Amino acid sequence: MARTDDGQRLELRPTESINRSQTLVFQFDGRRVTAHQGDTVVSALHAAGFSILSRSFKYHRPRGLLCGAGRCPNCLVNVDGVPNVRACTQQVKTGMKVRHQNAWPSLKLDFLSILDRLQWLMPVGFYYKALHRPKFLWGLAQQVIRRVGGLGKIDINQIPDADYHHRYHHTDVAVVGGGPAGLAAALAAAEQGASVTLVDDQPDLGGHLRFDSEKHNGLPGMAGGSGPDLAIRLAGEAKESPNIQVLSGATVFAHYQDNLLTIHHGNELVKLRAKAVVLATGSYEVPIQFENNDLPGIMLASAAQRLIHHYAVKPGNTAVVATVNDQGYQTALELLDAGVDVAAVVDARPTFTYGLETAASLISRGVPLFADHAITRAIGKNNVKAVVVGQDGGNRDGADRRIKCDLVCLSGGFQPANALLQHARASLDYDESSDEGIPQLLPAGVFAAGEVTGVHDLATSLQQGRLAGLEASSLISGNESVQSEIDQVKQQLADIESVDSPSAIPTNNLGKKNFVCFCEDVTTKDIAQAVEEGFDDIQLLKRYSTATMGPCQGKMCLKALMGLCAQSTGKTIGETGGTTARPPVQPVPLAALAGPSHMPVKRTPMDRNHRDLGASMVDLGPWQRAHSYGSPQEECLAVRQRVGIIDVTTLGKLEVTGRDAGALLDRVYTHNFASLPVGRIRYGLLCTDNSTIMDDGTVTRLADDRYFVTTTTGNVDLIEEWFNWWSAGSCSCVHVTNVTSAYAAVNVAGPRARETLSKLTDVDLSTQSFRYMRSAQGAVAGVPAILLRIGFVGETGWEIHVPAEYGQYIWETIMEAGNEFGIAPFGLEAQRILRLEKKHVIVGQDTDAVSNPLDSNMDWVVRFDKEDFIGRGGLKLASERGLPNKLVGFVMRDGQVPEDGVPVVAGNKPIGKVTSARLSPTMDKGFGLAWVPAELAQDGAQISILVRGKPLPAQVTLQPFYDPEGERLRQ
Amino acid sequence: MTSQNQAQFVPVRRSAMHQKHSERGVSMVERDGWQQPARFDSVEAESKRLREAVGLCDISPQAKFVIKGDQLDQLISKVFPTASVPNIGETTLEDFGGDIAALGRLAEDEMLCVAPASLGASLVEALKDDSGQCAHALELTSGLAGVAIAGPGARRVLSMLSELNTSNSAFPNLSCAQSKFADIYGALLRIDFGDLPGYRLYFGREFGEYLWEALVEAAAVCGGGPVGFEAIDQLQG
Repeated sequence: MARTDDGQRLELRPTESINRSQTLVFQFDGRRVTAHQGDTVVSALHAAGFSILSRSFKYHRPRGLLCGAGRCPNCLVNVDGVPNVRACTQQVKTGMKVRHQNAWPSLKLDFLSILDRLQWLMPVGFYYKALHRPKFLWGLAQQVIRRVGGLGKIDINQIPDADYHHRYHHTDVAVVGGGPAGLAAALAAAEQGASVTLVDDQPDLGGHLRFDSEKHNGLPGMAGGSGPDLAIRLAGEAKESPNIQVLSGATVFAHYQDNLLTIHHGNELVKLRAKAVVLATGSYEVPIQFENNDLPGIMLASAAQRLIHHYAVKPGNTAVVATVNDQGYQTALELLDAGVDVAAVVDARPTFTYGLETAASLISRGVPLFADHAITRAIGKNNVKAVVVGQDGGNRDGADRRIKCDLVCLSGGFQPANALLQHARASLDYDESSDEGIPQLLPAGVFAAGEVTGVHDLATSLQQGRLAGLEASSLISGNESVQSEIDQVKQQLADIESVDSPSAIPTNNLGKKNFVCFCEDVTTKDIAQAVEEGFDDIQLLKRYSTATMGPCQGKMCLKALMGLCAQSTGKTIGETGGTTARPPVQPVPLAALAGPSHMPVKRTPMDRNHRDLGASMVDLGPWQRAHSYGSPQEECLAVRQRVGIIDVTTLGKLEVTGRDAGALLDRVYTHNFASLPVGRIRYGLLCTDNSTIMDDGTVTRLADDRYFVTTTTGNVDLIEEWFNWWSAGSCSCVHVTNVTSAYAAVNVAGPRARETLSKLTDVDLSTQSFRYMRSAQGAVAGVPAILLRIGFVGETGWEIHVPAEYGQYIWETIMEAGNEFGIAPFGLEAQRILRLEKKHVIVGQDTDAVSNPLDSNMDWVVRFDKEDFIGRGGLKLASERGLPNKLVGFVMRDGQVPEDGVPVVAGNKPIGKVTSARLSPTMDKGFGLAWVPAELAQDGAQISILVRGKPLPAQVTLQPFYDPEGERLRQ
Repeated sequence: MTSQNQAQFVPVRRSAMHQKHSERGVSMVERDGWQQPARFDSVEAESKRLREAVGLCDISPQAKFVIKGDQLDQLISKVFPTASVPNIGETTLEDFGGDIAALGRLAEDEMLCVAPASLGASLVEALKDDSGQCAHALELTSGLAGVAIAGPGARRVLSMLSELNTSNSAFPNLSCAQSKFADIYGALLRIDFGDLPGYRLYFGREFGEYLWEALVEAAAVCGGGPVGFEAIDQLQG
C-alpha cells in the first residue's frame, strides 16, 4: 500500500466519509498525491499541505479553499482535460490528472500576477472606458484579455469520456435539498402515500447536520443527538421508505413552469415533472470583506468544518475566527477539538453575546474573544500569516492588534439559496431582523422549508419541512384528513421561539484589495466607485461591475453587493433589492444540456440502393433523397431516350375515404372530384382561403368512397390537418389517413418504360388500355401495387406505389428488368430539369406566398362553375381586377444559365424574378421560369435577365419547351 | 404485350430496420413472408437480457390497423363479439379466431389494432365495414414500424426518449398512449409478458432506422440491447 501524504490528516473521526483502508493516487500539476477513497481533490490536497488551488480571474492572485461546497470559483481546476471542475466536490479517482488553470508558469510562481500591481489600469468598467480608440486597439486588447483572464480552456480535441443522456422522470412530490428540512418534508409526504423524489447535491444526505457537532435536544417527534447522528437517522429513514427515491450528488439547476425541474446528475440530465415541489435548498454562508480577504488560508467557517468532519483534515494550525453571529463560536470550539490553536474569535456585533454556552467554553479554554471588532487586513503572500484586528469594525483609530495565524475562518452570515424560488416566481422580501430575503408569496404547488426561509434553528427547520411535506401531499391527494395534523404542526411552529440573526454589519472598509466578488475580482472600492459613476441601481451595478456574474452567480457576493449598494446610495437593503436569478443555478456542462443527438431522419425503403449506386444524398426537410447518381444531364438523356427510374416515396400520400370523401375534395380543391370516375386521375390544386396556392398533387379515385391523394413532400402533415379542419363539424362521413409511410413509390418513365414494366406485370399497359391520367391496381413482380399513369417528367411513365416493405425488392426487380433497355436511376436534380422542360411548376419553388393559380398559368384547373371551393372568392376578384404579373417560360440565347432567384430587369430596374433555371440537355440552352409584368407575358417577348451581374437577353415562351403537345406523354 | 406468370417472382418483405439488423451480422429468417431476425446472440443470452435488463425486438411484421370513425365501437363489437371495448388510454386483448388481437384506444374516434402477422388478411376482410355506419379501418402494416421493449429496464429506456409518464400508477399494464419518442410521434401499448414489463411502440416506418438507433443507444445505457423473435416467443410461451 502506498504511503499517503497525510501531514494534516486527523485521527479517526466518527463522522468522516473517507475509507482509510483504500489509498488512491492522482496527479496535481504533475506531482503525485495520495488520497483515501472518499476524499475530494481539495481534501486530499489540503491533507498533503497544498494551499493554493487557483489564480484569480483578473489579477492572478493566489486563491485557496473558500467554500468547500462547490459554490465559489476558488478551486476550479482541469480534471483529465475537462475544465472548470470544482475540486472541492470532485471525488478522487486513481490515475486522475488534475491541472491548475489561469496561471503561468505555475500556481506558486505566476508571472501574470504582475496584473495585481496594475490594478490602477483596470478600474471598474474599464472595458467600457479604455482601449476603444483607435478602433483597432480593442480587437488587440480583446485577444490579450482573453489570454490572460478568464477561466479554463476547452480542449476541442478532447472527446468526452462519457456520453451524456437525458431522462424524464415523474413524481408526486419533488423535494430539493437533503438537509433536515428536506428530509423531514420527504418523510412526511411519503408517509401520506405520495411518491417522493428527493434531490440533493451532496454525496450523502443530511446537509449541514453532517458537520454539526452540536448536541440537539428537544426536537419535535425525535430523540436528540449530535448533527451527524440525526443526519444518519433521517437519511436512513428516507432510504428505507419505499415511496422515496433519492438522487444524491444531483444538482437541480432550474425550475420551469408546471414544476418541471432540470437536474444534472453525473452524465445524466433528468427532467423531473412533479405535482408539487418542496424547496429546502438551505442557505450559503458568505465571507467578510477586509483587505486581502482572499488570501489562501482564509476560508468560510463551514469549509473548515467540512474538512474536519467529512475528511478528517486539519484545516490549519493557528486560527482566527471572524464572525457576525453565534455560529463562529461553535466553529472555534470545533477547531480546538481538532487540535487547531484558536488565537482569537473576532465578533463584529457591537455587543457581546453574554450567556452563550459556546462563548463560555471558549473563555474557559483560554481563547480571547473580541466583540465589536473586525479584521481590517490580512497579511501574507501565498498564505495568510497574520491578521490585523480593529475595534468598531476597524473604524476606531489606535486600537489595532496584529494576530499571527495560518487559518482564518469567516462566518459572515447567511444568504438563502433562493434561486429556485425566484425561478418559480415566488415573491421575496428582505427581512431586516434576519438580514435575509424571505419568501412571502409562493405559487400554487411550490413550498419552501428550512434555512431558505431565513430560519437557522433546527427544530423550526424540521417542523417547516414536515409542514411542507404534509401540505404538498394533501394538495395532490385532496385528502382533508391531513388537515388536523397540518394545523397541529402550524401551532407547534408558532410556539417555537424565533431565533434571529443580527442585522447587517455595515463596512466602511472600502479598500482596493477587499474582495466582494471572488469570481470576477471586484472589490468594495470598485462597487463604491461604480455607484459614484451613477450605476446606483443594483441591476445596473451588477452589469457594470460584473459582480455576481461569475461562476458562483452571486452565491458568495450578492449579500455583500446589496449591502454595499445600499450603503453607497443611502437606501435600505429592502429598497435596494437583489439581482435576478436565472437558470442555471449551478454551471452545467454544455454536453449535458445537448445530450444525445436526436435529429429525426426519414429514409425511404430504397435508401441503401441509392447509396450503393453512389448517389449523392441531400436533405429535403427530414427526408434523405438521392440528388444525382453522377451526371444529372446524362440521367435526363436516359429518361428522354431510354428509360429512367426515380424513388418518389417521399411524396405525401393521403387516403381520403368515406361516403362524403368526394364532397370534401370538391370543397378544398379548385377542380371537381366527386364526379371523377373510378380509375381516373386528376391534377389538383389547393388554395388557402385568401386564394394563394397552398399545394398541388394528383387525386386518384380508387373506389367510390376511396381517393388516393398525393401532396408535395414537405406539406403532407399540413394538408392532412387542412382536410381534417374542413371536414370537422360538417357531420360528414370522411376519414383522412396519412399513408405516406405505407407506400414505397417509384416513377418509371421514358420511351422504353412500357417494355420494362410489361416484363413484371399482367396489367395491360398498352396505350389504348392504360391511357394517360388513368390508374390501375394489380400485381407488379408479384407485389400488390397501385399504378398511376402520370407524367411529371414529360415521358410515357407510371408511378408505382407498393407496400413499403417491398420497396427494396421492387426497385431491384425493376432495375434488373430494365437492364436490357438501358435503364438508369435518376435523381432529384434530373427530375427538376425534366419537369422544367415541361414547364411543370413546383409549388414553393416557382410560386410564393402571394402566387395564385391564375397568375401561375394554372387557370385550367380552376372551376369557377363550381358553386364554391376554398379560395374561390379571392380568385374571382383577382380575375376581374386583372393580374399584374405572370409566371412564364424563357429561353436564353445561348448556354448561359441564370441562377435561381436573379432579377429580370428593364434597364437597371428589377421588374421580375427567375424562379428556376437550368441548362437543357435536349436544347443545349439555358432556360427556365420567371415572373414578369403581365404585358411581357407573350410568346416571343424579349426580356433581360441579370446573369452574374450582366443583363443578358432571353425570349419569353408560353408553351412547354419540350413536347409542347404532350404527344410523348400520351404514347 | 407479354403476359408474365406472377408465380415466378419471390417478393421479399423487409422491415424498416432491416439494414440495421444486417449490419449486426444477424441471420435473417423468413416468417410470415417477412425477413426477420431470429436472434442476435444465443437465445439464452437474449432471454437473460430480457429478464435482467431490457430487450428490443423488431415487431414490424405484425398486422396493424387504424380504425377511425364516430361509430367505431359498433364495428369493433361486430368483429370481436366478445370484446370489452376499451376506453381512451386503455388496451384490451381480444380473441380473433383463436389468436389474440390487441386494441388500443388512442382517441374517442381512433383505435389501433395490432395482431400477429398471420391474422392480417382475415382481419382486413373482417374489418371491412359494409353496414353503412361511419367507421373505417385502414391497414397500416406497411406504414408503421414496431418495436417491443421488454424487461425490467424497459421503463427507463422509454424515459430516456419520451416525456410520457410510464410509471406503474400512470401507465399500468394494458394502457395505451400517443406521445413523442426521440422527437417523433408514436403510439405505445403496454402489454406485459407475465410479470415482465412490456411495451410495444409503433411509429412511422420512415423513421425506422433513426428510432431503432435511439432505442438501442438508450437500451445500452441500461445494459440491454436487441433480441430476436425466438427469445420473445419463449417469453410468450
